[in-house]
Amino acid sequence: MDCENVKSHLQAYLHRELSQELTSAVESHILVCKTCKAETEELKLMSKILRQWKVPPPDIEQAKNTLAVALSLKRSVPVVEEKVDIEPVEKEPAEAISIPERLLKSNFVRLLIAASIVVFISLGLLLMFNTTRIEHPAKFEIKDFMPAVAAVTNVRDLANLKVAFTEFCSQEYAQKTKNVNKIITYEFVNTILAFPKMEQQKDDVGTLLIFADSIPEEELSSLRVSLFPRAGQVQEDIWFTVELRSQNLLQEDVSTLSTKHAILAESSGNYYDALQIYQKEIELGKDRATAALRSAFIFMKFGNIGKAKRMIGVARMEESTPIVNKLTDEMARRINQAAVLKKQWIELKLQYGENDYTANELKEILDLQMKASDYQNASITLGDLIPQLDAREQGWYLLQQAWCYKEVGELGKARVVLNSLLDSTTNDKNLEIAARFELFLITKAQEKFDESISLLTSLIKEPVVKENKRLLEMLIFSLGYTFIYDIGDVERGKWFLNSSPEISSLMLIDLIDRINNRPDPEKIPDYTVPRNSAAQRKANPDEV
Amino acid sequence: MKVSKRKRVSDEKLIKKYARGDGSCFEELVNRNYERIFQFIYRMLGDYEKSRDLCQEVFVRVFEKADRFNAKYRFSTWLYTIAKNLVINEIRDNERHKKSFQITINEHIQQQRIRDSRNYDINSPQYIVINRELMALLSRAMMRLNENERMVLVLKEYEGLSYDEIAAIMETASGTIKSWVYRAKKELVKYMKDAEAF
Repeated sequence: MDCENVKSHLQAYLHRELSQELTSAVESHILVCKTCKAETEELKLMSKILRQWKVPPPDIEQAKNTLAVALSLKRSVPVVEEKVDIEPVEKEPAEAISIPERLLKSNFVRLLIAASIVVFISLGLLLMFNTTRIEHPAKFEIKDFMPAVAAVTNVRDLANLKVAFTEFCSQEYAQKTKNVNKIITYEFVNTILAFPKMEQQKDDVGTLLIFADSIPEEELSSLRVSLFPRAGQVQEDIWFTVELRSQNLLQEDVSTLSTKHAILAESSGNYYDALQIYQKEIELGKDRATAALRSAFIFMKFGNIGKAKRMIGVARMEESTPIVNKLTDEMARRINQAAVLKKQWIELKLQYGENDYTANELKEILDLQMKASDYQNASITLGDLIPQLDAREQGWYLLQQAWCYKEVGELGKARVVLNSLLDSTTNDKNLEIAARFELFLITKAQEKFDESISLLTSLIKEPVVKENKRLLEMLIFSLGYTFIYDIGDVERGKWFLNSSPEISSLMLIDLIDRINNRPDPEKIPDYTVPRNSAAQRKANPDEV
Repeated sequence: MKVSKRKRVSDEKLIKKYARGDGSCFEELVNRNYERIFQFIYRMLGDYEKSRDLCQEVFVRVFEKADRFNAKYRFSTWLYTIAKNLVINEIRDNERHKKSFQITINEHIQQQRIRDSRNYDINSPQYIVINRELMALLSRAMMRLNENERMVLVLKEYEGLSYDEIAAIMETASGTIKSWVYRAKKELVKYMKDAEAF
């Protein structure tokens, strides 16, 4: 048997589908032919890899439910009579009974249909209930949400469901209830789509609809737990972002993504893709104000004031809600301030000379750059400054440098800086803790969640941390948050978060911020231990 | 009693009973076949939501056309044929699908990590993450195959059908199927080698 012949039989040989005679012919050839032997090994290895490809299981119960509804909806469509070549039918001829009738004969299907109808009605009632709670001025009529209910009825058609809901919410409901903005509406739709079980949906719909600016704080805290089921969807989105980055999406694909994905891309330090999506959103006129504001913020971090200003112009052109106007004004103020500061530090640089700045001069420049949120240039200044400082002073500046690198998406560099900081023996425990926490944030952005968890747990165990109640709570909060949103272990996350009422409300406030997509640059996480506590520690060296 | 009795009944008999008006066979047929059809579609499309919708569409058609089932074929062959036709339509409708699976420079980082995976213990979290990446790479490699090659490979490797059965589903000679499977695997080997993950 020659090589060509063997190759044509190789597949069947590997699947043991050859006759004994052919099998031994192939085997004896493989023994003497190195090329064919290598090929056989390769194909075997490939089969082994192929077998490892597992598919996420489908929800069969939901499928049965949906199928029953889908088939019952077909009852209005007349069945086309066709001649079929199957064996003769014994009792009732198939044509005599239409498919839905056949289905309805089964108690199982009847139950399913009844259950779905009950759920749809309760969903409708829930919508009405929540509407009256928010007390919008106009009377809410049932016909307003008919398109949505009609879409729900045809549960199989998820794409149309989404369109119907979006339309419904933005045109009717959202306009009448001014405090429910567009983004919440999108969240509402996403939530509906994310959960196969209606019971969970009810909680979420209720909660999301109450997310309004007018709701008092105390009422919000009572709603906290119902948000946890959303975790699954968020987890999916994070993986989507990873995929997005690995594929470096083409321009035309970007148009299918939304602001939400861009924000997730930002959270992984992937500003390039985020900007690309925002620019596409602006071009397409989708969610233009948010996209422009986020872009402006990114440009500001990269020290590109001109582009940031242009983005503010775009945001202003949009006819938008008071809250967006407020945010635009705030962002414009910050950018103008950054522009003034940039002018100042450039002047300083010119004044101090080209290459040989002293440490104090650099500190002055750095201060202006940090105030202007210009992290790109600040990281360069820090690179010049740090070698001029003594070991004792270097620590906090290294931390600042890591922070700057992180802010401009250079996570690898940030990591290197932090590792070198942690490797150098430092007596400052507060600095060490702050650096370890920063490292945690970076591993999280890099999706190295196992590392994130081990870093956090080791931090929580530190005696110094245990003494500082606020810091401890913040760390537990981060741990719970990582479990829920990054790892998807909702149970464990809940356990941590429920350990303190303050943490729970903190979680809730953070979630509201996420949902409203508020670009709030002022809200830099307060993770560092206050400097004065470092001073206290110096005053009391026994603690170290 | 009823359930244990039904386990012995073949799918072919169940679908015929259904066609004659016994709606209770519906659940049993879905229980037996839904998962494998879903897996088949998922491996063809690589998209959970689309696969879920399409899988439901397959079963809607099966139950709608139950009375047209030809008894000289096996039920599974008929089922896969319906699924195949819908999948092919879906792929052709969605040309953009292929574009989203193009390999890019950023993948090299991923490939490096896969190469490093040899240093990890199989139970370690790193290995699990990297294995996931390897699977992502494999799924991309699968999407680069043409739809016929991909389909026969899935039917052979995952669904475990015989060449004759696949030939009936694909409406082609079984010799052609053999060469498609071979070619598909060689393509995958080449892709994985290029990605230095092999």
